[in-house]
Amino acid sequence: MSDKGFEPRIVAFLCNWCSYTGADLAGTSRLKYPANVRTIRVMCSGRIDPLFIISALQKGADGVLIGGCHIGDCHYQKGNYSARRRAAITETMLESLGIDPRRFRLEWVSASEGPKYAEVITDFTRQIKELGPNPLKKGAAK
Amino acid sequence: MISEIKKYCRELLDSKKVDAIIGVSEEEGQWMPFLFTESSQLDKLFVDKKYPLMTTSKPMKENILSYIQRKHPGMKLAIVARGCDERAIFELVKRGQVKLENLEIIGYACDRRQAETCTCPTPHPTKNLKFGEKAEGVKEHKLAAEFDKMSLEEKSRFWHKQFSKCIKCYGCRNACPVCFCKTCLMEAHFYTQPGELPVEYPTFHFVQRYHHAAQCIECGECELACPMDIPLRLMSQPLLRQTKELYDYVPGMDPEQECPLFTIKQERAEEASDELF
Ligand code: SF4
Ligand code: SF4
Ligand code: FES
Repeated sequence: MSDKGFEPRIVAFLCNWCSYTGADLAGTSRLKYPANVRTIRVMCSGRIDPLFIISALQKGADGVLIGGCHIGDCHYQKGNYSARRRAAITETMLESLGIDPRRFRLEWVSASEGPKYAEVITDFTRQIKELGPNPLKKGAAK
Repeated sequence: MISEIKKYCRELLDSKKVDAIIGVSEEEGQWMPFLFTESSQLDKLFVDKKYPLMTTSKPMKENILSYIQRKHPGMKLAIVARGCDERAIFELVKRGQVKLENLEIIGYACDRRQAETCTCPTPHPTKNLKFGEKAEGVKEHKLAAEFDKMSLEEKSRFWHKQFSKCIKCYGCRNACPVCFCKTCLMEAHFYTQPGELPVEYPTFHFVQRYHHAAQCIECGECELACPMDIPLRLMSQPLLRQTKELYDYVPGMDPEQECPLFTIKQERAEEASDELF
């Protein structure tokens, strides 16, 4: 299915305290990573309603990433635990709808992990490229 | 069974153990929820067919039990309930919609035929079974075996086909006894403007299903309500299987057991033992 020269569009919801700062650090350290990510800053990974994920996919994102603080480090104590539980359910939900759950990823990136952020984005972008464009986008039911 | 239930209810009312009993009444072939306050009214009590007693009435935005509990605090109530009614009550208790204080649940079992109609896995109350024999439930959706074998692409095609039939009547939401939000996300204005069709599959249906992820009591009302015969519960079943596997949680079984999406106690306990905190 993979189109030649396909550049995926990835929506990343990053938590303000860790992942967003981590992304910032990756930038200020001049690390190279693919420019396929549109970042949306949220206060906590626990803010992400699974609905955001499905809406993003429906409105044309090829992949959705959630970045949060490491377990135990959430600034609101338990936001990322909830995020993790919801992510598990979201994956099952996506799968039972016939959407490849690999289009969605939850990662822990701390404020000091600029290199990890770059790595995550590189890897995720590669994976989405392999998966090809999101079939939902075309409203594709053949 | 009905005569025994009536007899029991009559005793409850006459001895003033309860002030009123919520049940379904039959009058001239019409069924409706009814608040029995006198034992003479009990002739009308009806239990032969399923009636979605706990469903939130949309104009009232409340279910009958929470309405009466709110209007008459302290009133001693009993409710004649099937398995699904009991499970709905338990789920609503967890979410602060109804209270178990001053409430007696008069539970009765459904027969196998009823269980088959609803594809109900537990056709009897689990905590308050008083009348009737437990019948065997229907464990799997009739399409589950077929659906589980499908590839991702086939599933996607399957749902596109199914949901292209959806006429956005909101019947599935309206019928669901554990659906109770006063402002429904399926009607939220950033998704749907009044007078317009709601957003397309999958967001609309995803919301409806996701909100019941660890809450669906498998009563089958949504599917019975859907005029387009969409097998909606096929979407919930994998979620229910997962919450059972991961958190050993089955909605509606125990009012004390917290919904896994509300609590992180388990992780906290594990970490405390790792001395992380
Ligand atoms: S089976 Fe349908 S109507 Fe019944 S609780 Fe589950 S989603 Fe709601
Ligand atoms: S009941 Fe059926 S047709 Fe009506 S909104 Fe729900 S899925 Fe669509
Ligand atoms: S603040 Fe970062 S995950 Fe909650």
